[in-house]
Amino acid sequence: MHQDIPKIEHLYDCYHRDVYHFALYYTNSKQEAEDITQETFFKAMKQLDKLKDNDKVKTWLFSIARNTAVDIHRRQKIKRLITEKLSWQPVLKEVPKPLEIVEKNEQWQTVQEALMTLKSHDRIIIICRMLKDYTIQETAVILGISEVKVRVDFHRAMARLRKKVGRDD
Amino acid sequence: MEERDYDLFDALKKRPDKEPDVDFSNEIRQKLQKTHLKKTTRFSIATILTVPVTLAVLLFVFMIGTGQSFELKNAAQLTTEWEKDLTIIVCIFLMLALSSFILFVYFKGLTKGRLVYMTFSLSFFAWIGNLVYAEHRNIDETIVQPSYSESYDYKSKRDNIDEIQQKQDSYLMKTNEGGIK
Amino acid sequence: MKNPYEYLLSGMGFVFIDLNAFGLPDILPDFIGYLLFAYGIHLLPSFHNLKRWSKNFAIILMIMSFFVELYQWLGYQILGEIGVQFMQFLFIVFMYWVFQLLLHIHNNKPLEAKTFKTYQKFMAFMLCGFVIQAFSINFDASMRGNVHFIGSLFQLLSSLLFINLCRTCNEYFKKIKENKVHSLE
Repeated sequence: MHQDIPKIEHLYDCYHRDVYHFALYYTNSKQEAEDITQETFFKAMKQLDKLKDNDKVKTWLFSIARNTAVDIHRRQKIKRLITEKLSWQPVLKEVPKPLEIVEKNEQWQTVQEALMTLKSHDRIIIICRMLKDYTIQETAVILGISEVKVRVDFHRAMARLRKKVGRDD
Repeated sequence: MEERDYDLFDALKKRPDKEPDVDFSNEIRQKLQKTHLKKTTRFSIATILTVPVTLAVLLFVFMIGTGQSFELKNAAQLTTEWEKDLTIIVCIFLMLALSSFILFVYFKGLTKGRLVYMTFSLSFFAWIGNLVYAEHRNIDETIVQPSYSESYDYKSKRDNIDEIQQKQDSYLMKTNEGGIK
Repeated sequence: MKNPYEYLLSGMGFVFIDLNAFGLPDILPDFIGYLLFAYGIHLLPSFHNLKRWSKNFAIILMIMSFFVELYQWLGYQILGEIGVQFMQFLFIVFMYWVFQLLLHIHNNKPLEAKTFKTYQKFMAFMLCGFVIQAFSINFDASMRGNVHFIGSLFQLLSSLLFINLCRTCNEYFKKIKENKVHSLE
């Protein structure tokens, strides 16, 4: 029913923070997270009439966010690589200020950096399960895979992350 | 899940720059409100234009490339070496495409929903399709061989052979008579 | 208590070796394999509908394969190679249900990951093998044998994976049984 379709503004008010958090954890870049949030809601607006079940709006929106995040992050990565190749030297990162050096030791950054070294699929599973506290069923719908696969891959991803953080026993 | 894992992620949940800019949020909201009305026309034009154009281009490329029509029977009657090679290439291509699809579905873990049923039904149709194609090809090949053809006119051929036989006999008779003389 | 995985393992052996024939199709008949499968499924600890479906499926396959075997013994085949290939396809569908049942039973247990990984590989290789063999009939005579062989290799690999899973489950089942006995003592 057309009347039952939620308004995009309403969806935006409800979920834009969640989508932004997801994108920020996925890319660790404020700029990319903003791009992903914007793109996600524009895509959602175009596909809103395809939404059949209003109860599934959250997982539907996050599956769009996930696809958008993967696309944009990949595009940015390729762009960076091309710039690097064309200039024949690695792109210099901004020299950290003393305060940032102190902050570098913060735990959240250690975890975020470890998260960034994981594969896209593993990273999304950890974000959904541990940072956004979604259920296995919700994560399975977002990723478009079976629940068993989510469970299996989640344990594997966590083991990899622990190794990266240095908590592997 | 271990307790210390939760501690680890709690720290990340509290990262200081977690919340989006208020200006950015308002700006996107306004943009969404403005573009709200345009959506339907853009989508339908894209659909109307791209799908038939893509199909027409594919059809054109196929017809130029092969010089054949799309009818399966014609495809089954390919006889020249070049065309035989093409059939094998198409077969290999389809086989690899289907196998890759199956591997993709199962290894990516997309084992929930229609994709699994698609792998089964596509495999089944591939099998049936191959059987039908093999059957058609065999029928066509047998038509080429005259010994199995129903249209082979044995009676007229028999008459011809009889005529030749009679001519040979009369020639032999004449030569024999000449020899005796 | 009887171990269901042993029956599934021997069922697979019977069905697989018969499918591949090796020139001796009558030694390990398929219907005994399906009978073992049905009994193994019957012993599995579950009351889910999946169990009933897969058991009934195994019984139907047992009856069908019995007739196929019977005609082979009598010297002629039903539909020739087509009948064998159709049985092979039904076997893959049957194994899909068996895996669904095993995944349901092993849900949130240590064997879940292994079962799922085996399921992924088994189904992918089995279906690929079937597709390759289906396409092989339209290849040139020189290529046909090789392509068919590649398909068979895929299926051999998937059967070995299932046997390996059954062995692991077997050991796990034995361990649980021992622990239960010890706890009773």
